[in-house]
Amino acid sequence: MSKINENEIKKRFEAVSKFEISPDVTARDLEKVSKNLTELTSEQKKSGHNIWKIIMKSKITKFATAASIIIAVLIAIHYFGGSIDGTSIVWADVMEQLNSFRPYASTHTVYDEGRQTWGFRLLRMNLSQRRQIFPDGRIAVYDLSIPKSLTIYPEEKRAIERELSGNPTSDPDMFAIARSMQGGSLQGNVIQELGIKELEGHVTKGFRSERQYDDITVWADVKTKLPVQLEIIHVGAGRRIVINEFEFDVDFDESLFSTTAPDGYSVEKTSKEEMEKLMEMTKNNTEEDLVEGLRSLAVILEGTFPPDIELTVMQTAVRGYVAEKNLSDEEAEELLTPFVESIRRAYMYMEQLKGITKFNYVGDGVKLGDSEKPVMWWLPKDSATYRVIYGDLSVADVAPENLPK
Amino acid sequence: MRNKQKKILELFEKSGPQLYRLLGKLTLNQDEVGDLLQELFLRLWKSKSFEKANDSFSYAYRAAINLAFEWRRNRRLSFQSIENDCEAQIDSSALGKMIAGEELQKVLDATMQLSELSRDVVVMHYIEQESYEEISKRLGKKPQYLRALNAKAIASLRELLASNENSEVDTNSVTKR
Repeated sequence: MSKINENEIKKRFEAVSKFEISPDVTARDLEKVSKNLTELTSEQKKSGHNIWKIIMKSKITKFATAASIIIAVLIAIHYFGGSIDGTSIVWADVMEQLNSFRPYASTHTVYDEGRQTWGFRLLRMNLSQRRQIFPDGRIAVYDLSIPKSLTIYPEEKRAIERELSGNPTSDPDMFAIARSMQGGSLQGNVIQELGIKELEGHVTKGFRSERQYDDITVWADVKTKLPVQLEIIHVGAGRRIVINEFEFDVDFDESLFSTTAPDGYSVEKTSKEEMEKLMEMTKNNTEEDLVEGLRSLAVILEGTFPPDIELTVMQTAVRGYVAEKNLSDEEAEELLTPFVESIRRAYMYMEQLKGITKFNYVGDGVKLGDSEKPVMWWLPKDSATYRVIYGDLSVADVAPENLPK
Repeated sequence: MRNKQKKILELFEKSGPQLYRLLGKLTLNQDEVGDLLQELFLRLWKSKSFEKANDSFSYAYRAAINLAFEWRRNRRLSFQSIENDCEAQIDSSALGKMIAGEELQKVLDATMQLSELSRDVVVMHYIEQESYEEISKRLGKKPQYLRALNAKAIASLRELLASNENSEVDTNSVTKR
C-alpha cells in the first residue's frame, strides 16, 4: 500500500481539530461533572459511600462505540461564572465597535488556491499612518498625512523614502471592510449568524455576508464585540484573506510610524516631483476612459455591472473571468490585455475624481444597455450639475434635484 | 485537603471546558466524553503527583491525552463498526462524511503508536493548533527541537498508516479464505 501524502495527514488533523460537541451535550456533561466533583471533594461528605464510585458505573469500562456522531459547530459553556450567552451579541453590536476607529494591530495572511502566498503584520496608528512588517524582514511605513512612505530593508540597511503625490487615497482598513458587509449580500442584505466557536482563546460569534464577488465572515468576541478574525474570500478568484491576531487600543510608539530612514541606512529618495511625473502619466485619462473601463467590466461580467467599483473588485472580476474560461496564462494575457488596460485607465480616472469630488457608484446589478438606470455619478469641480453615467453608458448632466433616488 | 480541593475545583472552573473539548477531539465520540472527563478528574483527585504539580493545567492536559489514547486502545479491542449502528447520524457535510468514515479514526490510532512526547506534540500542534512557542513553554523544550520532532512524527505516521492499511488488507484476505 502506498504511503499517504503528508498534506493529507495534516488535513485529517485539521478536520479532527474542528470536531465539536453539541452545546446541549456539553452543558449536560460539564454540569454533571461539576456537581460530582464538588461532592467528591467536599469535606461535608457524610457517608462512607463513595458517590464517585456509584456514579462511575462507568461506560468507560465498556468502551462502547458511538451511537451517533453529531457534528455541531457551537459553544463551550462556561461554568462557575454564568453561561456565555451567544444570543446577547448581534451584528449591530459589532458594527458599533467598528464604527469608530481605534489603534490596532493585526496579522494578514493571503491564500491563493489554498496555498499561503504572502502576508504581513499590520500596525494601524490611525487612518493615515500604518506600518507593515513582512516575513522577509521588509518594513513599509505609510503616513498619508504628509504624504510619504518609507520602505526599509533592515538586513541590507537600505531604505527608500518616497514623497507621495496628489491627494492620498483612502487606506484599506479592516473596519471599513467589515462595515461594507452591511452593503448587501446574496441573502438580501441579511447578515447570517453562524453560531458560536472558540478562536484564539476567545468565545466568538460568527457573522457572514455572502456577496457575488466577496464572501466576508467576522468572528467577534461575545463579550467585547470586537473582531477576533475576519475572513475575506474573493469569490471566483481563489483568494482568501485571513485577518486575525488582533490587538486593540494599542499604545503605539510614534517612532514606529516615522517615514525618515533610520540612522546608518543607505537611503534612496523619490521626490514629489518624480512622483508627480509618474502621476502625470495617469492624468491623461478622461471621462471616456472611465466609460470604456465600465464597459469592459460589464462585458467581462457578461452584461452586468459589478456591485462595487473598488480596485479589488475589478481585480476579482478579471480573475474570475480567467478562472471561468479556464484560460492558460498566455491565453489570459492575450485576451484580457485590452480589458485590463481600459479598466486600469478607468481606475486612474476615478483616482483623479477622488481627489476632487465624491462619486457614487450605484451600478450593482445594472445591466449593460439599460438606459434608465444610473451606474455612477459625481459632481465635477465648479459645476452645478452632476455627471451621470447610465447603464447604456450614455453620460448626462443632471441637476441635483433630479438625481436618481 | 482544602488546598487540594481548591486546586482541582479551580482547574475545572478554568480549564474544564478546554479539557472536555480536547477529549472530544481525541475520541471523536460525544457520548463518551462526559465519562472521560469524570474519569480524568477522578484520577487527578487521587494523584499525588498532581497534588505536587506546579502547573496543574499542563499536568491535567497530558493526563487527558493519555486517557484519551488509553480509551482508543481499549476501544480497538471491542470495535463495532459505525455502519452497523442504526442510530448513527451522519452530518451531510463533507466534514461529517469524513468523520463518519474511518480516515480520522485511523490517523488518531496511528498517532497513538508514536512515542509519548511525539504524540503530545502532534496533538498540541495539529489538533489543538498551538504554536511551537506555546508548546515549548508547556513542555520545556526548544521550539526548533519540537519542529524537528513533528516533522519526524509526520514521517512516522506515513509509515504507520501505510503499514496499518497493509495489515487490514492482509486480515481481510485471511478472512476471505
